[in-house]
Amino acid sequence: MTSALWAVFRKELIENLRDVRTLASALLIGPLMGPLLFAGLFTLIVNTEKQRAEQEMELPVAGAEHAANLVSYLKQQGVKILPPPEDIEQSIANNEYNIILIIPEGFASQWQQVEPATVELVFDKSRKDASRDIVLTQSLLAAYSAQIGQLRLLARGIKPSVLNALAVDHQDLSTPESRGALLMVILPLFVVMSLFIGSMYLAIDSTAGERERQSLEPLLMVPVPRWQIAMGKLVATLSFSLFSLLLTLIGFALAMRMVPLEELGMKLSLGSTNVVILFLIAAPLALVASALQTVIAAFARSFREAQTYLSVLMLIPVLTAASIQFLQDKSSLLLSLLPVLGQSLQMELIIRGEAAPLGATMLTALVSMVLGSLLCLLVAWLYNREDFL
Amino acid sequence: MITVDKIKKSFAGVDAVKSVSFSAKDGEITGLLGPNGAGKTTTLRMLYSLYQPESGCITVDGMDPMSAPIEVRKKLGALPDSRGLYRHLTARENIRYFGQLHGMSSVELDKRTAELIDLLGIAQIADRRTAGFSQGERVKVAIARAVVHQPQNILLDEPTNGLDVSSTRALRAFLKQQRDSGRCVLFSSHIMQEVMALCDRIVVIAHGLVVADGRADELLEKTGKTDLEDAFVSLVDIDSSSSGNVGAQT
Repeated sequence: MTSALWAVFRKELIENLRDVRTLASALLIGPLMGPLLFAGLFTLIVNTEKQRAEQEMELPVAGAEHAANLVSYLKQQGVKILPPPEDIEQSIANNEYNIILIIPEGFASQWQQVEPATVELVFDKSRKDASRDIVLTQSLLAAYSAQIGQLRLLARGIKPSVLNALAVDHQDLSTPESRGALLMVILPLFVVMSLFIGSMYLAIDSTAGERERQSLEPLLMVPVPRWQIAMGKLVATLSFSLFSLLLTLIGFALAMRMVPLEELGMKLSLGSTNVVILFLIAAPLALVASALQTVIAAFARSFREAQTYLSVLMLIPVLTAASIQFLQDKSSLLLSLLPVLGQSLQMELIIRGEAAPLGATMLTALVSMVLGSLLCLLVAWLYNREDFL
Repeated sequence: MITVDKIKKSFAGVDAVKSVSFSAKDGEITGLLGPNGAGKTTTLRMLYSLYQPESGCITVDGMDPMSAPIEVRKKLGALPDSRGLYRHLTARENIRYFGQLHGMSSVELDKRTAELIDLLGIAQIADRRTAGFSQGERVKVAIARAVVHQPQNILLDEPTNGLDVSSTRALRAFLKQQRDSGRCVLFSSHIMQEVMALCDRIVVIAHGLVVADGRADELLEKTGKTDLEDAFVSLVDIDSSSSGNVGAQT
């Protein structure tokens, strides 16, 4: 490293570390937004689920006296039987109860004649919070119906199993990790975002910012080849991008430890080895993010103008990272070579607890580094132009 | 020592500098006098090799800025049109940064920075961040930064713009001192009194052309005027018919 390049790098680092605005956006909001959002959202989900599971199910029953056996069966199954409200439909609409069972007067006579005895369930299926109670009540009633039916067949000397033409076995192959990974598509998205947010401020500051502050002309007059000035600034920008990336990954690792995801039947963890692997996968993108944003900002005359361009630009990698959810063929080598897309796919594999294919991962990194280097050359070329001033 | 021979520069087909020739000698203060948009800033930018002249030739201590820009810049110290400082750095750090870019050693820089802070009378603000500096304080720091490497040639683009009387006087004293130590000082201005007060030689530029070159009394003689302002106006108006306003100042 030449001494001029080093001097530029050190000055950019000192200056930006003293700037509260840069620090807040590059090293606080950018890296911590994802982990905080993740922790907050999942703590909320886990707590609501837990509360609901612990709660005793309440079931108001109208006409309980017509079906004493059914009611005592429900009690045995742990359901708390309540007296019916005055206006049944209204109380469902008012969210007072999730579901209400009505046993009509004719129940007993239908029962005795061995006809299907009618019971009525009143509920609102569009209410998401009621769905557990609805499903539970329906399955309890179905189980009671089957139990009584079997007894009736036995009483008539028929094997109850004649009713079951099929025996369906369920084998759910999802592992706790893969169920969790479904929710972890958000990690690649925030990782990509942190790379861009981390380097955005410096990319603007070193081009449009210098121009707006009127410090570019004196700087370009020093007896140093301009590529050295450009590279000193780029290395500083890159450092912020990488630092932001590291903070994001550490933030996610801590957030995952805080949220009791096992209670949702998920197992997610981001150990230090995986943090290092994810860092290595994403690092080549930091070069692309730094150089690309510098190139774009170089065309702006003011800080605000550059900020507008870069905010729009950031949508492209962020949407690309999010798009991996909708990809049909995730193993296509061609797709995995694309910067951002390739890294997002490989990061997803790591989070799912699988290994990213080494060859393809190296190739993706190489493509991104070549692209980043070309953009660096473009930055140096722009600095050398007469109208860069 | 700077020589300029028939340099020309245009932007988007408009001539900013049509043909400018002059020389600025060591041990003299040369003034580049001209109205706004005359081509002063463009001329200076060609001297410190930010712009490439389309034709003509420049030498700084015998070297061509286009073929040896790095060597020429080492011999030049310039206060350009834009003089922004880094607001999160202190005055001292701003000066030191440019010294580092000039390849100065840390020991050398400590000595030189202290010397300049003393010379320009900015000791009180030297270790404050420059964010809240007044215009005068800012120009002083910008000048210290420009001459930190002790250049033989000092170029200043409208250095007294926005300065109050005491700052202007301090600046003049500094430039005279530089001249007396044998340096070549070239500065541009559109204010005639200032040029008269300070310069040994005056080069009057208007519409991208040199319209007069000489000592103050020679200019009066040439125009046949007794008043400096009349002389300036008559010089600048000579060629106003040949083209409209050619602005190149940014």
